[in-house]
Amino acid sequence: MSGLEGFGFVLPHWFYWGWLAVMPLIMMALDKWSSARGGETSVPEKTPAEIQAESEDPLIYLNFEGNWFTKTIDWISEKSGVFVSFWTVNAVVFYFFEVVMRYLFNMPTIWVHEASFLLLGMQYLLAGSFALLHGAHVRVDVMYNLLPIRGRVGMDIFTSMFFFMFALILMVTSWTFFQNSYSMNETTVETWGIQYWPVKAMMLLGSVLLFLAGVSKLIKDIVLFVRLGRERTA
Amino acid sequence: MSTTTATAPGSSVMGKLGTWLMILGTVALAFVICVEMINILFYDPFSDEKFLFKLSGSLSDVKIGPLTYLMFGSLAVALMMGLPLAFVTGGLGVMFIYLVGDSLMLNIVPSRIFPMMTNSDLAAIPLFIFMASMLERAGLIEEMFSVVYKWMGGLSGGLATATILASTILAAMVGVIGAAVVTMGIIALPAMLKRGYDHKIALGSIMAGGTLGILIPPSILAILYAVVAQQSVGELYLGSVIPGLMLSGLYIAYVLIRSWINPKLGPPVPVEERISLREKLLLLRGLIAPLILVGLVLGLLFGGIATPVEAAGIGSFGAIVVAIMHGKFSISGLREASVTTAKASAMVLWIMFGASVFVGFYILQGGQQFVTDAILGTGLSAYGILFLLMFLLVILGMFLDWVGILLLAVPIFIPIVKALEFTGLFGFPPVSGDDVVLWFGVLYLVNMQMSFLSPPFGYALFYIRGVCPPEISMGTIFRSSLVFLAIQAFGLFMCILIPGIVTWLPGLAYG
Repeated sequence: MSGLEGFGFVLPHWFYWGWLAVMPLIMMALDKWSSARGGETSVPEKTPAEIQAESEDPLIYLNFEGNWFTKTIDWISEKSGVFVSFWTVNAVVFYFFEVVMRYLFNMPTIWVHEASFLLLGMQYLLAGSFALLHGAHVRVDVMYNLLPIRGRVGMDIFTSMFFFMFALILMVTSWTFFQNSYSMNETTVETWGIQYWPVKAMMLLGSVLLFLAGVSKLIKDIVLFVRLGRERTA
Repeated sequence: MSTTTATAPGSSVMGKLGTWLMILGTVALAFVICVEMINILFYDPFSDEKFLFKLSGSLSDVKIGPLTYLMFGSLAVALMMGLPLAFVTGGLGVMFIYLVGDSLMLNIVPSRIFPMMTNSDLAAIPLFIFMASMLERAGLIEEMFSVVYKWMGGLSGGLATATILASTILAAMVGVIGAAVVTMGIIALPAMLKRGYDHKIALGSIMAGGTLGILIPPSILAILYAVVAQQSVGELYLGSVIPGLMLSGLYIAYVLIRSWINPKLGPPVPVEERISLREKLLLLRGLIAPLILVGLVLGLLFGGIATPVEAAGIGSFGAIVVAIMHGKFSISGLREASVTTAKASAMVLWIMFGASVFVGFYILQGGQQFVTDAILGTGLSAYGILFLLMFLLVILGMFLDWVGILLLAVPIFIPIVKALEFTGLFGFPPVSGDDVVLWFGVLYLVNMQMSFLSPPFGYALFYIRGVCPPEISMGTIFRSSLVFLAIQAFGLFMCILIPGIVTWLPGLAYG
């Protein structure tokens, strides 16, 4: 760290990555501990698209869970979503630290901005599958709404093919993207010089998660479609 | 499975046909995707060897004109089929890149997405969402409403005015409308209905007030526009202050005039329920914390002390402190606020990812120039074109989500606007060339308010339907939005006519 003297406190790289891996686990444990001790539980707040999905998306309002396979994938999506959600708290504290250091101690930091927007950037990517699971991705419901339930499920199966085009290509291309970055051990050009390749690795991981969540949704849709068809003929 | 899964009555032939069409379409598409994936993964892109068949490059000879219709036509169709916007744009973007270009060109996908992941301005989006969510958990929003109500209750139409005023303050705390409309609907609507308010005024004031959140800083839409148009977020925020306050003032004026002419529309609170001035002043204590926080965030922002991202960080930190002060802080509350933030920002950002692939490719193919030439070639005057663009935005706003509109339309519209010269309308002052993009940005923000209110698919209508008592029909909700839509259109027109409304404050601050 010899090049970084005179910049005040600089977050070491190993600590940044380590903290991102550990901090959400600590928070999740704390959360479990406090709710086990009868701490108040908070009601989740719905995003606009979720409110929409609750009245329109058959999978969500029928609360259809599918088989062990889809349950496993959904569990992964759920937990990874909560995991990355907690990262936001770090960014809040980082920015507060930056402004306080700059104005009260006249010592602007060199790492806060990068540390914060990189962790939020990874969060957007990784939370894609979580948002898909909860129906938080907004859709145009002009025609979709007019379809009967089984029609909507069928439509979801058909349109999922466009989803897979995106998810598959994102997976393949972000692998190349990540490999290029990893092979030259790419770091940012700023003074802090944090590694870029883990961020690109998260892009790969995020697209894999998204793909898995899409597979789970497709399986659930197909099972539901068949079941609804049987119910109608029965 | 529950028993509520009733299918549409009759038309079993149609159902069967639809089922088979769906299965056939899905299997065919899945087969093509599999073959092309094998091609992409295992075959050399430069050789002619292929597995079964290869579609890459099959559209490479199509001119930009037909390609435009093809791209946007398939976009419209796929959107109508109800796939989330982010994946429609992403999937079609990938498809067209492959069909027009080749498999190597697909590598632009991550390089379009990565700059957005590492954009420091965009980091303000999750932070502002987090701040609003935390404040809501602290119970501040309810508290603020009750205070403003008690202050305004004595006036004719006072509750509706209070709703608009409270939502104006609320708009300065939140950057999206969802939570605001729902919260206000839950608190303000029963209060107004109990006093016998006219339904249309009650609903309209809640919905119109709620849409202010996307105009008055800190608006998330403004951040997105600034990033897409490469403008300063701070300038855009300053530019939207006066239009926001003007709209809020217009709504209040409308409510007050209507209920002054006919007091039955908005009866004041009975004298015995009113409170004395002393009590009113005491009540103000409840407002201190939120007002300090809003003042702090906006002060940091406009004083040039902190960047928007930093201001958002400070605001979020302040919101946590406020929650602790109110005894409403808990780990599970923090978790839920974070989870909401992650979901809401993932929604916005994934639309950005998808749309930037689609639009990025379209612009790369020269689509930009094509649209610019087509619109400039109509021979309309600058203001004619501006009205055309605004009209297009209103139409898009009826169907599409605001993030989608921003990313699909704005990158294509901005060069058109830049190419025009606005010399002033009816002898009013012109817009100087440097300010045009900023001015258009604020016009866009004002315009997007209309998209939230316009029947039949406006978001505000959708939210309010969820909290309305059953005796209020959807028709009443639609009709109540119309007057406020007209007021918004008037506000938009004023901003076009007198550009100073928008450009005066930023000009003062940034010179």
